[in-house]
Amino acid sequence: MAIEITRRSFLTGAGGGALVLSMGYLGWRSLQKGAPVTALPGAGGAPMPRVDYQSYEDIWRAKWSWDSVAKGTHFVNCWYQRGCNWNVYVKDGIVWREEQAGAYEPIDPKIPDYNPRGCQKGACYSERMYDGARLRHPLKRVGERGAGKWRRVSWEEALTDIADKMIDAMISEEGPGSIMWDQGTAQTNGGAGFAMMRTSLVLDTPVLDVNTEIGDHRPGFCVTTGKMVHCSSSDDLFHSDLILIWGGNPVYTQIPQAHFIMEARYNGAKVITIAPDYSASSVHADQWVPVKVATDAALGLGMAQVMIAEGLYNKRYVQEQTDLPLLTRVDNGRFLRGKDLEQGGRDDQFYFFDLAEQKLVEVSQKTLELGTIDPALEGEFEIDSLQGKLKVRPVFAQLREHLQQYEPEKASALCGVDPDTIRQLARDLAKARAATCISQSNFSKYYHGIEMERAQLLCFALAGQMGRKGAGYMSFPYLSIDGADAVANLRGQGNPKLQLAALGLKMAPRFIADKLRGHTKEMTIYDLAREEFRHGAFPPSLLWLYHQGGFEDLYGRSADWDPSMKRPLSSYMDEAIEKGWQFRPATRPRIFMEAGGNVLRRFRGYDVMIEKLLPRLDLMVTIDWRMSNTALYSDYVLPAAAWYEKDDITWATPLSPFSQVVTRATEPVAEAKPDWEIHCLLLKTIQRRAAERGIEKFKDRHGEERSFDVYDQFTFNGRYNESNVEELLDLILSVSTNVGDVNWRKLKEKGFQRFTALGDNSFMNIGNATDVKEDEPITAGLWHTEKKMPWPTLTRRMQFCIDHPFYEELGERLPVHKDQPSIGGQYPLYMTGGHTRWSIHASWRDQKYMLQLNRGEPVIFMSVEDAKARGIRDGDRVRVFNDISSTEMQARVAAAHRPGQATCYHAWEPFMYKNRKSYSTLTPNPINPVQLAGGYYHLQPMPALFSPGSTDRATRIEIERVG
Amino acid sequence: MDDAKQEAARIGREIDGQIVRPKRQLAMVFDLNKCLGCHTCSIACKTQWTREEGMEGMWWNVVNTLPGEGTPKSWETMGGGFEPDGRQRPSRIPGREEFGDAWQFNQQEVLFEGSASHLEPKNFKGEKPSWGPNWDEDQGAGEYPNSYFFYFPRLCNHCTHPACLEACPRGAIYKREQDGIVLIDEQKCKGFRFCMEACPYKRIYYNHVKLVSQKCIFCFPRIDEGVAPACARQCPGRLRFVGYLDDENGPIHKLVHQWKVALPLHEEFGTGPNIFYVPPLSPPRVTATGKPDPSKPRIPIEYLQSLFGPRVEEALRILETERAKKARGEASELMDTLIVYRWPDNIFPDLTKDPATL
Amino acid sequence: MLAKRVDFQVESPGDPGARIWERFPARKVALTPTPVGLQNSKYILGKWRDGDFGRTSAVGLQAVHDGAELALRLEWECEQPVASVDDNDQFADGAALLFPLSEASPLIMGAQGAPVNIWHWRADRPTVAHNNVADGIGTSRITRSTLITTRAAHASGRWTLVFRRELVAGPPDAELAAFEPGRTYRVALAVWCGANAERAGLKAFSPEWVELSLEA
Repeated sequence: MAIEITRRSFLTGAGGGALVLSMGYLGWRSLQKGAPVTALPGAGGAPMPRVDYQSYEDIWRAKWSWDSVAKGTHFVNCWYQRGCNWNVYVKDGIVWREEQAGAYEPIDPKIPDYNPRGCQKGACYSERMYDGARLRHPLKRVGERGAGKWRRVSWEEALTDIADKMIDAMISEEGPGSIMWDQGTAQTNGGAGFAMMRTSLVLDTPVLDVNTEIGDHRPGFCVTTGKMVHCSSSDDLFHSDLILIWGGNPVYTQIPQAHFIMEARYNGAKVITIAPDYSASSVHADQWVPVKVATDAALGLGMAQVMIAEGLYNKRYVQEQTDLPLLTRVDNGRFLRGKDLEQGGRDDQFYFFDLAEQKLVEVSQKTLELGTIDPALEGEFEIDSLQGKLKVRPVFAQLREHLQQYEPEKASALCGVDPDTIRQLARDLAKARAATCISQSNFSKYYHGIEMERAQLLCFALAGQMGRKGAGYMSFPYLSIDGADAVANLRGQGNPKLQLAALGLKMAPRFIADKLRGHTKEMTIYDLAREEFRHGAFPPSLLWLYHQGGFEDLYGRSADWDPSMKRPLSSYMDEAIEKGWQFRPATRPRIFMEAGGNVLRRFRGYDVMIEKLLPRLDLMVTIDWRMSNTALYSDYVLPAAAWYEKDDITWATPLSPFSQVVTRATEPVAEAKPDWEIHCLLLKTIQRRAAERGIEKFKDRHGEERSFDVYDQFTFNGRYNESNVEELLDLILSVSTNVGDVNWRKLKEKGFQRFTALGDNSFMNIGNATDVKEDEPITAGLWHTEKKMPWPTLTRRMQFCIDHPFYEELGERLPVHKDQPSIGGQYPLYMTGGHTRWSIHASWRDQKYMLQLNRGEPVIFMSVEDAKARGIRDGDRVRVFNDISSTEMQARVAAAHRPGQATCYHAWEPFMYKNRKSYSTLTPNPINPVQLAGGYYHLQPMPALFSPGSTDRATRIEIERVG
Repeated sequence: MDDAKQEAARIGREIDGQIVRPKRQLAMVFDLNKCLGCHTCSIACKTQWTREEGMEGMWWNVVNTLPGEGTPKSWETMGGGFEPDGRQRPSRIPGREEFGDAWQFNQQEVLFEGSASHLEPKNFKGEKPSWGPNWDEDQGAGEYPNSYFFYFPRLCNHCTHPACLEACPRGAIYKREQDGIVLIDEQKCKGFRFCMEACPYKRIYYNHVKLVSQKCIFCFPRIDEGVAPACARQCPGRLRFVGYLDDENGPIHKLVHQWKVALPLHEEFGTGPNIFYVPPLSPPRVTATGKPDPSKPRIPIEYLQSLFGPRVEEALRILETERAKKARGEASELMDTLIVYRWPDNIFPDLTKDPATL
Repeated sequence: MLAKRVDFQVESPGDPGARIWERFPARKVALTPTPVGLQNSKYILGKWRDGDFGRTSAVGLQAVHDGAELALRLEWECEQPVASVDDNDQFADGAALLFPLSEASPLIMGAQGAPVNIWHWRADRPTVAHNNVADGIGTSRITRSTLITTRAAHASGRWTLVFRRELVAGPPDAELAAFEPGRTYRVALAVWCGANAERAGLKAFSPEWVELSLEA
C-alpha cells in the first residue's frame, strides 16, 4: 500500500520523530543515573522480540540423521591402546561420522567398565578416509622417485606388470628371496595379515620381522623372563595401591584405558610418574620423579640396593621365582652347572644351597615349587667339583656386592634423583599391597634399554610385585584370536581344517616328549618358533638393512660412541653369525613390497634409505589406503580399502581383551579394494602370467622346485577367494580357540568379543601365562606364581644373571647402569621421543584436524633454559643437527621440559619437512652388540624378539635458530 | 504475540532486577583430574556439527592447557560479561587468527601433483599460522622441575544470565525453557556479532559463509532424544558428567551442591555459567634433585583461585580427605561418584540412550 | 524534494557518476546518531553509552524516475571505506532508505501495526539491496526478494550510491512500498560507517522524514 501524505499525517510523522528523540534522551539520563538498564527494553520503541524457535531447532535436528549404522574399528597398529568398538554412521553412501558404541559389558560390579573406549584419532577417521591423501586409483610413477608425479592405470595393467616382474625375480638367480615384504602398521591380523603371510608362504618370499627394528621388543624383559609378551588387563590396575608410570606416557598413548589409572587413584592408589620431563602422565600423579635422560637403570639399581640393604625384599618370591638363590662360582661368577660337578653333567642343571638340610640340592627344571627346600640367598660355600674344591655363592650374594656401587648416594650422582627419594621409592614399592609398573616400548629404543628394563624387573622381583591381582610389570601386550597364523601357514591346497587336524596330530608327540623332559608348553611353542625362524622366513629388518640395504656403515658405528666396546661391531656381528646366534639375510633385494607399512618414515637413518637402498630396487610397490611417504616413493601404488570399507578381524592385547572387527559399512571408494582381495588378485595374476609365459616352476629359497599354481594354493584350491572373505573370517574364527563360540556373523553384529583364554595356536599369546576368567580382570603370570610354572629361561626362573660371553665381555652379566653413548657426536642435547598423542604412527600425522590441534608442522619441544641460551623463542624455526644429518622444525619452548632434553614425538612424515629431511635422518641407530647374543637357551632369535633393536632414543643433537 | 512466546523470550534476561530462569537447567561437570587433554570431545563435536562450509575453523568444544593463553588467544583478558551493578562489561570481538582459523594444506600439490616439495599450513590470509586452538599444549608455567599445567575443556557455559542473549539487539538468542540450553536462532541472526563481544568466555564463532554467529548447542537434538552430548558420550576419560542441576540423585547435584567440589569458571564474569569443574590436584613440588617438597602446592593456589574463586582450596581439601578414606579402605560416596563404575548410568543418568538404537 | 521525470532510455541513472545526476541539485539531509537509549541491547547501551558512532553528518540525496522506475542517489563522506569482510571484527559500510508502510509508522524502524520498508545496501554485496520490513527495533527481516539494484563508487573520501527499483515492484501488500507519479511520499535515511564497527542500530540516521514527490 502507498501512503500519500496529508498535512496532518506529515505532522504526526514528524511528531513521531520528535517523540523518538525524547525517549532517547530519557535513555541517556537513566543510564547516567545508573538505573537498571532493563527498564528500557519494552518501555518504549523497543518491543520484546518475537519468538518462534521450533522451526529453527528442526534445522539442527535434521542434521543429526543417517541411513545406516555398522560396527567398525581402526585397522591400524595402535598397539598398547588398540581395539575400540565403534558405530559407523553412513549417510548417502558415505561414512558420515563414527561414535563409540559403548557396549562393553561390565565384568565385575566393583570395577569400572571399559566404556567408551576410543580416541580423537579414531573419532575423525570418517574425515581422514576421504581427505586429500586418500588413494582412489592404482597409480604408476612417471616422475623421479618421490616427485609426486603419477599416471592413473588400471588394476589389470598394474597387476600384470607387477606379476611379471615378480615372476622374473622368482626365476632369477636370486629367486624369491629377492622379493621382500614389509608388514606395516595396517597388517593387523585377521584377513589382511592372513593374506600377507599366506602370500609370502606360497611364493616363499620373506617378510621383514619388524618388531626389533621398530624397538618394541622389550629386550630387558626378554633376557630376564625368556619372553616378551606379558601383560595384565587395564582394569587390573583398579586392584593396585601403587602404580608406577615408568618408561611410558599412557596419557598420550593409552587414551582409551587411561581412565583406569585415574580411577584407581580415586580408589586410593598412589600414582608415581618417573620421567625426565613433566609429562602429560605426570599431571595426574601423586608424585613426579624427574630423572636424568637414559639413567633409569641407575635409579632402579639404587632402589634394588635399598630393598636388599634394608631387608625389604620379598624373600619367598625371590627364592621361588628368580635365579637369585642359584649358586654361582666365585672364580668366574658363572652359574654352578651339572657339568661342573660330574662328567657329562648337564649344562642346564643348577643348584641351591638348602638351609633346611644344609646341603647342595639340584634345582628343579620342572616346577618352581620349593617344597621344604629353603634356598640360601647369602653366604659362600665350598663344594667338591670336577676341578676340585670350588667356592660358590648365590647370585643374590653376588648381586648384593655388585649393587654396592648403586647405594642411593652413588645412584643419585648418576640419575639425578635425590638419595632420600630413591629410598622412599624402594620402600613404597616393597611395602605396597599390590604395585603395577606401567611401562611401554620406550626403554626398548635406548641403546642400553636392556639394562633399564632389567633394573626395573629386579625391583619388581625383589618386591615380589608380580603375578598377583593388581601387581605386575606391564611388558609387551598381545592377546589375539589364535586362528589366523595357524591357517596362514598351511601348505598345499587341501581343506585347511583337515590340514590343521593333521598338523595337530603331527605335533602331538613333540609336545608330549617335551613335557616329559620338563618343558612347558610355552617353552615348546618358543622352540618351534625359533626353528621356524632359522629357516629365514622372517629376516629381522635391522640385520637385513645392515647386510643388504647399505646401512652397514651407519648402524655399525657403535664403537665410535660406545666406550665399553673393545672391538668394532662388525667383529661381534661376524662372531654372532658364524656361531649361528644370528642369521645373515643373504639375498640382494630386487623387489620391495610394502603392505600397509611405511618404511620410508620408519627406518632410522632415512638418508641411507634414499641414497643406498632405493637405487638397488628394480621395483617398489605400496599397498595402502593413503599416500604415505613410502607410497610417494614407490613405482606402483595400489589403493586399499579404508578401514570402514572392508570386513576383517583385528588383533588385540590383554590391556583391552576384546577381539574387534571392521566391517564393510560402505563400498570402497573409487577403485580401492580390500587387502585380502588385492592379494588374491595379485596371486591370480602371477599364476595366469606364468602360464601365459609358459613358466611352470620356480626354485624356492631352499632349492626346492615349486609350481606356479600359487593362486590355487593360496585359496585352498579356490575355497577362500577374492569374493568370499567372510567365509575366510568364519574359518579363522572356527579354528580359533580363545574367543568362545562366535562366528563371523555374530561378531560382525556385536563388533567385539572378549577373549575366553590365551588359546592354543599363538606363540605370542601364551607369554601372558594366565587363565582368562569371564568375571575378573586378567592378571598376567598367575601360572608362574600360582601354578609354579617355570619361566621359559635357561634357569626356568626370572633370570638376572646372564652368563653369556657377550654379556660378560660387555660387563653386563648382572644388571648395570651404563652411560648413554654420545650417539650422533659430541652435542649437548639429548633428542628423546615417544609416541604422539596426535597420530598412530603416520596414519593421522597429516590429518587436518590433528594438525590444527597442533602447530600444523613438525615440532620439537625444548626447555626454557636451553631455548634462552640459544636465543630461541617459542614458534621459531630451528635447525636440529648432529654429525649424521640436519633437519628443520618449529621449536616449542615448554616450561614442563627438562633442560638438556629436546623431544621430537613420533612419526612425522618426511614429506612434511623441507627437503624431506625428517627427524629420522638424525638417528644413526647403532646396533648394541649385546643384542646380537645367542646360542644360550632363551637368548636365541625368534620372530619379534632376540634380534638387534633400534637405538634412536637420546641421540645427541644441537639446535640453532634459523635466520 | 502470545504469552507463552513472550515468556520464552524473557528467559535468561534480567527483568526488573530479576533473572528469569528456565524450568530446569542442564549442566555439565568436568573432572579435571581425569582429563587427558586428548581432544576426543573436540573431534566428536567437530564431526557432529561443524564440518560445513564456513564452520571449518570452529571448535565449539576445545581443550586448553592451563596456564596458557587458550582459545581464542588470551580470551580471559578480553572483558565481557556483567559488572556487579548489572551493566555489561565492554569487550571486543576475537579475530580469526586469535581463534586459530582452519588451516589449508597443500596435500594435493605435494602428494599427487608434484608441484610442492613439502606440506605447509596456511591460514585464512594465506600466511603461516601464528596461533591455533591448541597452540600452547603441554607447555605450562613455573620453573623446571616445578613446572605445572593441566587440561581444561571449554565450551559454551549455557549461562543462567547469558551475556550474549542480553547483547543481541534482535532477540536471536534464547534460552530453552525445558533445559536452559542457550541457542542462537540463525533465522533471526543478522551477523552483528554483539554476542561475540559480550560473551566473557569467548565461545561464540562467526560463520563467514552464512554470515551468522554460531556456538555450542549442547547437542540439543541428542538431548531431546535422551542421548548425551557427543563430547560427553565420546569422552574416553569419563570425566564429563551431564544432568539437571535440580536432580538431587544425579551426579551433577551431588558434585556441585552436596559435596561442593565442582566450581564454576570465572564466576566474577557475572553470567552464571552452568559448566562446573572439579579442580586439579597435582603432585607436590620437588627440590632440584626431585625430592618432594609438600610445603607449597605445585599449582599455585592463587592461580586456581583466579579461575575458580575462593572455594577452590576447600574443594581440593575435600578431594584429598575422601581419597585418603579410600586408601584406608573406607567408603567414600564422593570418590565412588567420580570413579564412575558403570558407564553411562553413573555419568549421565538421564541421557543413557545409544544413538545407534534410535 | 522533487523526483524529476526523465527518460532512462536516453540518460541512464544507474551509474552514480552518470551525467544525469549533475543536472539536478542534491538535497542535503542532516543525519544524527541513533539515540543510545533505543538500542535494544544492554551491551550496546553500555559500550556505546558515549554515543561514539553515527558521526556521518549528512547525505546528499537526489531522485529521478521515468514513470516505471525510481532511482535515488546518495552521497556521503567516508574516509576509510570498508567494502569486504574477512575477519570477525570487520564490518562493511552500509546505507538504507526507509519508507513508511502506514501513516503512523514511526521513523525509527516502525512499530507493530505500523511497519516500514527498508532498502538496505552494504558495501560487501554492492549490486543489490536487501528488501526488509520492520515493525520495531530489532525486528527487521528480509522479505521476498524484490529486485533493488544498486551501484556504488568510492572516490576522494566519499561514497556515491544509486538505488533503483520499479515504482510498483509487486502485488500491493503491507510489506512493500509502492509509488505513483504525481504523488508525495516520506523517506528516511541511514548510513553505517564500517570502519567504526557500525552495524545494526549503531548508525547515523535522518531524524526527520524527507518529503519525496514524484513528478507527474
